Amino acid sequence: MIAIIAGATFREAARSRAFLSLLGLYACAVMMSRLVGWISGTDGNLITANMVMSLQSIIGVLVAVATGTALVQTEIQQKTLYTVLSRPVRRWHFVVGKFLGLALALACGQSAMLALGLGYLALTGAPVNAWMVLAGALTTVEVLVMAAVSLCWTSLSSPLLATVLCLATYAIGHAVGSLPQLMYHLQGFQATICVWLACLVPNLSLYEYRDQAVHGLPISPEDTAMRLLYGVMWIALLVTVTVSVLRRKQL
Amino acid sequence: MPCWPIILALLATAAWWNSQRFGERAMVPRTKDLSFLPSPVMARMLSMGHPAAAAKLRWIDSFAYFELQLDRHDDTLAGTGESGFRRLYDMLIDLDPHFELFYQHAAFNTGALENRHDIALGYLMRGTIEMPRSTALWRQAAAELHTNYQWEERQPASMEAFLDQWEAAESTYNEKRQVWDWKTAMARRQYRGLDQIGYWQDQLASSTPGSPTADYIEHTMRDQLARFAVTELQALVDAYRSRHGIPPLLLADALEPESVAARYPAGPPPWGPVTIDAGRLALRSDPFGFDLTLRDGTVTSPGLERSRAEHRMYHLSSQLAEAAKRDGRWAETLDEARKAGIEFAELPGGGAYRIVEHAVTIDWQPPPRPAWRLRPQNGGAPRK
Repeated sequence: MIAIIAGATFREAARSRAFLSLLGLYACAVMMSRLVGWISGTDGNLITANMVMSLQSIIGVLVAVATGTALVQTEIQQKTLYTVLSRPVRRWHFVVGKFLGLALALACGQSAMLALGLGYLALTGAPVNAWMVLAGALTTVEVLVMAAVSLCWTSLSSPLLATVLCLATYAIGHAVGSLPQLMYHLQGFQATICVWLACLVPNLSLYEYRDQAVHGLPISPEDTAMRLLYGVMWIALLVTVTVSVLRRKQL
Repeated sequence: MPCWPIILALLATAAWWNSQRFGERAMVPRTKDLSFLPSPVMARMLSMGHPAAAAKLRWIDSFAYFELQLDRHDDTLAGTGESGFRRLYDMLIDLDPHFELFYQHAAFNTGALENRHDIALGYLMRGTIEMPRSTALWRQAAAELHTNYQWEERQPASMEAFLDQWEAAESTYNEKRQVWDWKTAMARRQYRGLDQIGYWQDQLASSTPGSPTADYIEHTMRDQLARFAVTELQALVDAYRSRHGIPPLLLADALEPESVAARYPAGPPPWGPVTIDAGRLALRSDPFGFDLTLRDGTVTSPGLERSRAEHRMYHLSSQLAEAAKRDGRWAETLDEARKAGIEFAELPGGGAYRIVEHAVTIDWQPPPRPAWRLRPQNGGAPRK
């Protein structure tokens, strides 16, 4: 049953206007990224590569938030959720199926973005290396974590508020990476509260390897595995929270 | 009635309106203050997971600050009194410590514009620690040590040690060979004044032809080459005077085979003012395309004179702006500017001041010959 829901969600997400429009926007932005390289007065290759790798994350997260927040709410608003739940489907089947379908669609989107981005870089003469593929894969994990975040926030609030909260989580998730260097500003219980709050947010700075990959700097297999595991753990946590909230919800 | 004619008409109007901003008359140099820049840690936090991309965009935006400092030469920030360039490059380097150009520009801006060569060297050393295989940074650091610290003369052992470190950091034969060349040159350096030309040639090769950076680099190179030409010819004129008791009547007279052979045992240097044409010693034009001249026993380069006058011109524009601020109106003519207290120094031959768009410009007559071609094609010397 999970597979059926996942398959239907994948088709729905992949056909959604927001998904396709943002992929189109990514393609346009990648083409335009060369302009930034040109106005830098250098050969622009590294700068364009930085832009392309960052765009994959930014647009990817926008896709995840746009499709993730609409996923369950659309089912509720269009009352198709009742048709599904009237069958022998448990609510956790529904949530996990929905997430897996969305994750599959996002992973396909990310692969397409990565292929397009690296292809464009190679065509325009910018250096492309294998580490950039790995960096793209880590960005995909980041996007999947954000998809789980969006699903979780949607179960707790309205779609609009969930979108805002998702983007805030993205910003804070990256900011917590720099927090240890700013801790000296805080004293006593302020520092304790800050650390506790920071521990409750996924540390997305673990997926910033793209900047090193552009320079061809390697990452160890242990490091990569640890980051993957960290992402999977957060996804599991957030999906479980979503299941728990949806179980108690009066539909 | 169909809507598309209205849409087309409005679109054409909007495009025309926008195009007015790009007209030549309306183009003004963009200048910018950097007082708002955050600390490196805060900048990383604000970059929201894209520090390298944010650093590049911030860097491109800061070119306007560079333009401002070319004229002002004072980058003290309001409030803290910090150096703007240092705050900028500390932030950029922290955001992307593996981007070579940040170190190069940091060293250039703090060294050449602020005249803080200690800070410039610090940036370069930091770069060699972050990127030990970066030949360009090692080379620039060596040039800095040689040019501004005179380590070859004052600390030859330390310079040797530095070159040894550079050599150890290079991984290929060709890269190591550059260091050996430097060591060889250090041992028998004979043409003073051109030590930086190799560095500038590298910078020129990596810049986009026709860009402001390329123009700036070319101008710097012409300036250095012209100074070198003047120094070399003056030495030949002095040799002529000591030999004959009187200065030469014409500059070409100073090219006596004995004096030239004594000064250049291995033949005239490729970047120098003396060349061999059809088996005879001949004078080249200065790097700007003007004939070098001899006046009362002193050699002058008209191109260099013009270059100096243009440097003064930027200062005059600043004075014009200050006068406008003080008097509440812009001087439109040279007479009005003089009345406002601005002194216009006499220009070298063929130049005339003009005030255009609230800035002083100089109209020059074109040089009689083409300027030297400096962009390396086969890594060779400029063509005649």
